[in-house]
Amino acid sequence: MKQNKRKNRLRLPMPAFVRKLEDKVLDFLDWIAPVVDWVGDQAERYKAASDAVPPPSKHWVKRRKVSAERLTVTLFLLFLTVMTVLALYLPIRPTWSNLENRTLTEFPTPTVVRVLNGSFFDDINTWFADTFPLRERFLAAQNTMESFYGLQSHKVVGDVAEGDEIPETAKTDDDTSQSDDTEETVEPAADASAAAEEVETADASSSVAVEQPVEEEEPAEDEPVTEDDDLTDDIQTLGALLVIRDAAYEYYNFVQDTADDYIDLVNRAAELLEGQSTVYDLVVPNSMDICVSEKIRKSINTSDQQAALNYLYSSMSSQVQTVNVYDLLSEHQAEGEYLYFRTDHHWTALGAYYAYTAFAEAAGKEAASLDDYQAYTFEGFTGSFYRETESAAMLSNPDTVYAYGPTSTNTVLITQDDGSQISHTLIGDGDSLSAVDKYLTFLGGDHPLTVIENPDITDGSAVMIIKESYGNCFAPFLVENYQYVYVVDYRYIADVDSRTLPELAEDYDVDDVIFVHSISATRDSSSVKKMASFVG
Amino acid sequence: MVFSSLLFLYAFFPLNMLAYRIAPDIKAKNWVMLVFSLVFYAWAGPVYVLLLVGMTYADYIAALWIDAAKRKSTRKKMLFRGCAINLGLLCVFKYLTFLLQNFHSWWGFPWVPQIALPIGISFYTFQLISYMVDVYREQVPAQKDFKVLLLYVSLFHQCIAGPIVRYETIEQELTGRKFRRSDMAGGIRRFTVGLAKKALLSNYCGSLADTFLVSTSAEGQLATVAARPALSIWLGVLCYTLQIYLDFSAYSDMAIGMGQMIGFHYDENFNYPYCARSIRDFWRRWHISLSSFFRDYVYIPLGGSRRSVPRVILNLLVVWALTGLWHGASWNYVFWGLYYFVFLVLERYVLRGLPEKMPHWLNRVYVLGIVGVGWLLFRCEDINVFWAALRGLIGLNGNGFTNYETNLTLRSNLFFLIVAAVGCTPFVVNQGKKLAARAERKKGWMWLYQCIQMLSPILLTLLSTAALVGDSYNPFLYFRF
Repeated sequence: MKQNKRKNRLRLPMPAFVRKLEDKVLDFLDWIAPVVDWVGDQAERYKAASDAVPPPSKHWVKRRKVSAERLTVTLFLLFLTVMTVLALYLPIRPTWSNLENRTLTEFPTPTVVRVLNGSFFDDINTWFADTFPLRERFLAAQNTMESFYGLQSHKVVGDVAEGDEIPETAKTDDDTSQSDDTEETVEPAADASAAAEEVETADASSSVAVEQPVEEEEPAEDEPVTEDDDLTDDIQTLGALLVIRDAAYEYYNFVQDTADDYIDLVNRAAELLEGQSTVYDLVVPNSMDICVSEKIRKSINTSDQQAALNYLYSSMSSQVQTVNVYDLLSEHQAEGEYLYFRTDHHWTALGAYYAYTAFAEAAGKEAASLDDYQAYTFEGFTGSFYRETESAAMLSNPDTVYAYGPTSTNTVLITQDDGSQISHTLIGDGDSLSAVDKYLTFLGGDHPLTVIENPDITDGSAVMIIKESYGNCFAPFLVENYQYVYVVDYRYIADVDSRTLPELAEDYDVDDVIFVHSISATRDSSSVKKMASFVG
Repeated sequence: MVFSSLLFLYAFFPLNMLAYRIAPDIKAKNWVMLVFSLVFYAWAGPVYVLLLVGMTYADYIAALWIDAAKRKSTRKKMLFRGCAINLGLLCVFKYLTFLLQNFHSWWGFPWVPQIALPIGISFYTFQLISYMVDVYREQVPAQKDFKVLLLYVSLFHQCIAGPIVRYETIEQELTGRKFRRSDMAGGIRRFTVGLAKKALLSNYCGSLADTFLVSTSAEGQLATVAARPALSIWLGVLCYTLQIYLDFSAYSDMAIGMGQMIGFHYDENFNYPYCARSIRDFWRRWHISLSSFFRDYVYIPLGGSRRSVPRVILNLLVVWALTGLWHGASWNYVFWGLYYFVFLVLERYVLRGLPEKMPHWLNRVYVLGIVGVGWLLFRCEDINVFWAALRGLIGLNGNGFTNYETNLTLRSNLFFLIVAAVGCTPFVVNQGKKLAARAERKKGWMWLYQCIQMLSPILLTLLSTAALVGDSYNPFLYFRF
């Protein structure tokens, strides 16, 4: 029957795909026709039936209206009463929000000044709204409601800052006048055109090849580590975010002056350490460039990180061994590997491992295989991007932290902010950390100085990493190659140790010094200033 | 406290209704309203309650003297003194800092004190002035009972965000109002619609305006605005235009609704201003209680339109400079008032009846274009930001027509913007009326109509609650008024 119908159709000469489409549409119309007919019939029957009924009397209409009014008032007042009782019944007020991972506002304490200027009452307002009963239900309802506001779930969070234009040629000034051809940039996968940029984040987590069972690892020490507010520090410097479904990407805006300061300080470090240690520079691109397709990236206000890296590295003196991991990471990302968190601004330990292999190649060392490390898996990580965006999609699809620690040791010696030293786990128990803090599993977070010693190596070899939090998951890999790994957080070291980089390197007899940080650090003048003052 | 806060909605308001219900007679009910109103006002800073009560008391005495005086000159003198107290205090609290700042920037002295603006002072000062003038004009007798006058001034429905209710309008209802169930039901609907307009539409429009333009509290606004592409600025102006109407009319809706629930009938304050056919028409529909105040108490006493052309223009100039200044102590508000002065004079003497003869779509373009740019001026307290945005509006900042971020934000809020825009038109109300007319003819429709009437207040309140629980963006736009 259907076939007959189709044969009878008038065929005009047209391309095959149009014909296909037309067939599809016509088939669909065939299929839906009985339903349409049925609805039409029903409507007609209903109309006929209702026409047969005489219009209601004035009296009836009035009565209905009165009853509607009565019910409106009763129902609304009932509703208001129930809600008010709920709202004023204090025991059911929540004090902690899982969704946002924070303690909710507490009831304010009145002081004379605060009462008189009214801020006490403001605080009561905030407290009342912040700890409202069924808070999470209401938030979920609001999220659902907002998902109907438009066509897609991409959005931009925060203010986008315009980047400076990235110069094509290296920075030239007095102390770095060596030209480009003398530098020794190590580019493990130097083919720039092979850089594939695809958004591979949606199912990246499932394609990671590491699925060892979780090892029950007792922390070496149970002493409480002062889990400092460094995370908040980082968040304050987070730039604008591009949110695509359940992932966010941080904007990067190249800042010429800050980049130049950065180049200067690395060059100065190499000069000061000449004869003592070799200086390596490893600037890690963030997920914006590695994970987001070029098409999207070109249309938004984020600077090209590859160009920025080329500028930084080509401007550095020949004494600096630069390690460019842009192409390497892009390649592995293109294969669907899990190199960056979707809900946090850090890279994963796997991303750090590839950077480690690139470093080993540059340093002429043999990189350990990933299988040589003890693997850990901690699920349910919703990091800084989640905290910033409070995206429901991220919450329902959190990241997983895969950590790799050396088999030889799982202990580090931490010098804390107050100068006290404690022993801590190298890879901590991520399951005991809250969802937003799981990155603290690496080295217990950021501390001024962290020392790892490999008991299996006795050659006295030592490496120093100058890092922010990106270095935390990178450092463990180095333990396989050095007896001592000194991890210095340039933001906090000045609080506990007045020595500068050359002094520290000499005192600890360090062979190699590696600068490891996110590219975001090179656009942040306060970070670069701290780094420069550490270099001396 | 603001109406669109959970504390108001689920603590203050229900307790107020309960106490009001329990109170046996009108006197007790008035006491309930008075006490609650003063608590409401004190919530923003208890000290300023003294100012409110003091000003009311001064005007109460002044009005009694005006009423008692027989000679016209005495009455005039008393009126003048009363107004001088009100306007003097208004100037000290609202404009002194601004004046001294300007003086300081020109002459380098004197020291500029930081005076916090008492909330709602612009609204209740105007209410008091209208009361005294009406007594002087013998349109109403002076109120003999101080607490009734204080109730009129401080009534929390309209004290801090308008409408500017005339004493004349509610004089009878202050001492003798009746409870009607139809009023109660209508008031509930009106209040919840206003609440939803504020919590669901206006707040979100505001955050979109911040995204498209720049947050008014952000640092480096100028640079950010100058870097925006044209479409972003257009959309920003659109969102702000929507926000300011939805927000302001929502407050009036809530005030009118709450008044209606207990038997007060305030006049309408907005009549779909964005559907106006000309700028003059716009001002007949926008914040009616304010523009009619300026008409009745400034423009007409100055001679109104019955004078020579230059004098009428002067009158208009005064009125619009004052209207601008009323909205805030900053130059951009004054310019905003004068901006309208220019268009109103143009319409009166150059265009004549032209806007009324235009096709409807052209009316929209004409009115919304002028009003939109007006709101941009209204928004930017830094006039340089306004110029940058204006240049961006016509693509002179060299940022192209659009960018990815703008497209993204537009696409992901498209439906919302359509709904918000429809919310500024009488569309929904008209559909409701059609449904009501049908319901009277067909029983089937009656069911639907009743269900909507009964359930929509609850649904709207629930949705608003959800939005208020999760929303940190709940600005109070009138803190400058």
